[in-house]
Amino acid sequence: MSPLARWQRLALFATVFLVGAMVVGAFFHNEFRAQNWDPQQTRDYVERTIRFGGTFYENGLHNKGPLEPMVYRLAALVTSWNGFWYAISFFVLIVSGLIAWAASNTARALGGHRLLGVAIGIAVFFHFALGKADYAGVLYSRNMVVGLLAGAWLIALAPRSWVPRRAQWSSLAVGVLLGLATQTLFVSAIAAFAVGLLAWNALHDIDDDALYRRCRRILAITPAAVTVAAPAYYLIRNRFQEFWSGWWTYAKYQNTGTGRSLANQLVYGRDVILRYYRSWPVSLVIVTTFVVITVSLWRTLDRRERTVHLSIMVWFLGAWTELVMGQRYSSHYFSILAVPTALMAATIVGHAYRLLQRARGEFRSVVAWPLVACLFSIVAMGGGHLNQGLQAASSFNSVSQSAKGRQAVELGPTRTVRATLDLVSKADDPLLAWTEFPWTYLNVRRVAATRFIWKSFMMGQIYLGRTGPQYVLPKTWQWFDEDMHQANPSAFLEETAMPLSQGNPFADYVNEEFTQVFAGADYNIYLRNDQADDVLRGQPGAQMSPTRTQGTTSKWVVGSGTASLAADVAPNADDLLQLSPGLCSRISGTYTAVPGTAGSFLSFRFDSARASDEKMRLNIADRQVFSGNDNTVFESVALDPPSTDTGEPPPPDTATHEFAVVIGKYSAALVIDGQIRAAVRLTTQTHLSLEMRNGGVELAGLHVGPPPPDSGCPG
Amino acid sequence: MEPARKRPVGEFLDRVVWARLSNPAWISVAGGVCASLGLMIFMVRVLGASWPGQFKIFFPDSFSFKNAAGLTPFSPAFYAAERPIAFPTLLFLLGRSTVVTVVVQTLLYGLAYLFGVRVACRILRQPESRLLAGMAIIAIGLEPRFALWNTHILSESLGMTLAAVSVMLWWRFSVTPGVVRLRWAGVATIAWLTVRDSNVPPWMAVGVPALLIASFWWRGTDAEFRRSLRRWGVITLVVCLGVAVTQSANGRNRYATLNNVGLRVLPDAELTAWFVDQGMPTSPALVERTGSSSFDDSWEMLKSPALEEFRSWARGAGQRQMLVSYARFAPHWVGALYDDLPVLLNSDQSAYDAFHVAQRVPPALPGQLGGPTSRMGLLIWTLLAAVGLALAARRRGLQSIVLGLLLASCFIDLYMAYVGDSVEVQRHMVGPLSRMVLVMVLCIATGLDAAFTSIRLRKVGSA
Repeated sequence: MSPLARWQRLALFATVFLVGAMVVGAFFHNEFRAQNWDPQQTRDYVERTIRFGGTFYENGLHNKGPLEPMVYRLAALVTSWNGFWYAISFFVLIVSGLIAWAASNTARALGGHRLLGVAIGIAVFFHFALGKADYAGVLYSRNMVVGLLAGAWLIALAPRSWVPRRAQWSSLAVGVLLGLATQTLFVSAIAAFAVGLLAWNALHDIDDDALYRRCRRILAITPAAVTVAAPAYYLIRNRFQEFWSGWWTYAKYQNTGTGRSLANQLVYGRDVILRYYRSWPVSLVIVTTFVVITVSLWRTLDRRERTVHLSIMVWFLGAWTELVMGQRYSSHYFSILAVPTALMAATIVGHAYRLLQRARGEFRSVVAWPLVACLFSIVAMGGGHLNQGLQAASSFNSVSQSAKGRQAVELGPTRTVRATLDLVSKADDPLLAWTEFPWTYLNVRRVAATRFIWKSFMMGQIYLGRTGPQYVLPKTWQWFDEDMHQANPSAFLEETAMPLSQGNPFADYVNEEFTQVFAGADYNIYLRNDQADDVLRGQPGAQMSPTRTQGTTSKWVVGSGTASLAADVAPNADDLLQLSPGLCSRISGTYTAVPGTAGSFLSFRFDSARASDEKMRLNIADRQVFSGNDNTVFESVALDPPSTDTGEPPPPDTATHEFAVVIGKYSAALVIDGQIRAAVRLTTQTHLSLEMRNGGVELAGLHVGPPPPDSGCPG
Repeated sequence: MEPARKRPVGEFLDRVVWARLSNPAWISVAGGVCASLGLMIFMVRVLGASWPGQFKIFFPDSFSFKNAAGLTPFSPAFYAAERPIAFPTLLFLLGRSTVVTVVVQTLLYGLAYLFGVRVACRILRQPESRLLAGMAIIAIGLEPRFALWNTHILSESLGMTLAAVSVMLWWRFSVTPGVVRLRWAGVATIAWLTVRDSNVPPWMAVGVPALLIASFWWRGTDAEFRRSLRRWGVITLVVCLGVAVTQSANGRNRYATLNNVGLRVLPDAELTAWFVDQGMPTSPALVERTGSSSFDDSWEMLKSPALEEFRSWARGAGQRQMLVSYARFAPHWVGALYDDLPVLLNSDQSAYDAFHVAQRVPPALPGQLGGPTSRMGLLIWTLLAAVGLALAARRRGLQSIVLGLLLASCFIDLYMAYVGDSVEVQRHMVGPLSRMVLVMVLCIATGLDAAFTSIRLRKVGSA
């Protein structure tokens, strides 16, 4: 092997090493990064569809085509609940790879060396999979659209796609991809037209006139047919109104809801364009250079090259038109602009290479260009996301272990909500929520009880626009009513920062059907009246006589339905009052704290069979009730309603309180004086004891009864 | 009659799969690509979790290496610093950056084991033995107790890297002896010798004599080749002496002497009596140090005024007498090593796994397949290696001799790593153990390869 061949081999392996690291890093990091706003919204719709069946438009107010929820449905189909975002991350890799491939082939089509194309592809891949831009590493509908367009571009650009044997199929494939893009976002029609232009030109070389005409027909009809396929399908399924309300009517509301005239939209767009290029001068240089090259080389370009230039230009203008007409310039939307800009860059590099190569011959260094592109991408575009991806890849052992890791750092209020919900429903059951966030449901593994997952849909609040009843879809309350009949949710969740607005059918339904059971710092939890009754009051069951872990040497004094510990007994973590040897029960009675010198501290403690496992606790410390484990407080609430702060410490709590520890299969809650005060999820913990960590206590009327019927317990 | 047309799947397999698999150039490239990806995944698993800014140094030895590197190779003090020069040189070349050094040493470590696989695939003739050797070499490289050292600024990683490279190069030399291959093996050995001073005794005891004896008595080779053998024998001898003298001169070995006296000599009446006879100054303060190392009790042994005379002895004559004792009381030390072997072999080095590498790389192979972890395992591995050498002896005599010598040097290495210092013995054993397992794998693979070849030749002959 010659020394040059050795270097080539070394460069190849080093490139494979770095590109491999990029792919691995992107896959593991984008699993986290992909969990963005719109993707979670789409997942909400998909999870609801899985739970209740029907079309996507019956399960969510979705103002785009069905491709996006279909892709997310596919992700749910091939993965578990916890593995869902890995599938989305994989799709992000595919889209990034397609765009990279399109850029690579564009550079080659304009005269660039094969390895130069690879280098361009690597840089573009890095930008879309690991770049700093907000549209990188996510799978919004616009990312899907640019992926579809890139796929169509690849087919249109490849000469071998248009040999007589393949031309019809290629026309069909391009037509389908463009049709799906337009169906997903109608405003992407101009970009789709631009890509179609390139395919149309490719037909020019077909000599057989009949074939040429057939291909032309296919190319013209297929996109339109695919675009109208969605409304046609829902018309046949008799679900046209649901589809049309989302895809067209709500999209129209979003357009008119900004209140801007066309002239105002254009002026606003001009300002944004100027601002954008001030922030991204590199893009401006690319666009300007592309325009200059197009004009100056136009006469020397052949027909195909001219069409490439023209298509990219139309695509680019179409992207800006889409953004200006959409009137919303969220950073995630700019992927539609980034792709034609990347193709412009590839075109410039292809031309530059051809000019230089003609002047000085082949470059010997070309073999190292992909490697240089890798290093350049990491250095110039920032390796932050790559670093995080490599960290995630290094620590990943399994999907379930990662899920456990995340569960371990869940926020306290989320833990309380999940634990309470687990007493009255199971995973994937419906939850009614008054919220503006898509993760309200996913964080507690529930599906939305209504298709209107956000209150804004029911209040007529348009994103970055006006609010008014004219923006509430005509059949909203009818569909809400149908949803409630179908879902019959066990719980309603209200964010304390966003209280339920009264005077609408939603509020009426909640007022009539639900009882508030928990008032927390972040959330108020309401349970359906029957469920609330089961949890808060339940059946007292039989009187119980608790046992003591230390037997006769224990300081606890137990009797029939009673137990007490003197205030002056030194705290002893091993001297426990055993209340329940297993799960699935309801321990109720009254307690009267007997504060010691350091106050009183009762800890209802859930232990596992293995002593090394963490213990879960429901604690009452004087007038504060909190959930937690041995190391962390999850959430804390006051036993009494907040009163005026006098600056003095509150007097010790010596009142007698009714209490119940409600233990389901997966969680437990502490009810005091008719309200849930704290709740924890149980993993390996199986038995309940009472540990006094300060002071003494008197327990009376102790009973053991059955758990709530929907708490996951048998029977 | 027209020949039957192949099915599209068959055509595809012929055209895409089999055609490529029968093309050596394609296999070579595909192998390289797979190796690159494998190396990338290994590095991500070992380093990724703490990447890029969480590699901290906390071992005193790490600071010592950095200090040595800070002297720079342009200063004579660098060559007589507290550490042999190889690792400080690497640190110096990488700007004494912890992160960069960790990455580079992990890359070198991975490349060394991949090089081992490549050499094994080239030397061994039968696919079964290639597969066995390749998998075993990769398994050794992946073992958490070895891989975790890549995350530390210590010489263990580079030591294992250079040990693997030098072993593979000597094995390659033994297949087709020549001046060029000898040169490569010699250079790698010099690099290995200058990583850790404990590498010197095994080479002095086995490598240097073997080269010199071969240079005089190896009939059937030309004079130039024998001169080369002699030259490399002398060069490596000089390097050994250089390492030994500089490490002795800087006084670092006094720590090992102090540790050994406190932990191993004083608790043994016979040894204590011998050392006293040889001039070791005793005192009640020294007797009080029985069972303690020089670092215990806030460096009492290094600081106490009552032990000044003892420390002075340890700086000079004590080191020589300690060396003599390794030979004079060899049965005693071997017995001690034998007693400690179960703990030493079975150690997963978890105390050093500050970056939790063991949680991210595959665990050691079960059933001691990845190397001995008990006395019985060591015995079986040694027997298997010996059987391998015996099987290879007839048709691959030189390979058998060279691997046998390497194996012998491994046992000396093991012994010297054990007796050399009684503190952090488990850490000191890492290098010798990884080298020993590697050599044993090569012995077994060579023997199997010879046996398979012989069986197949016999079958061909009888057919």
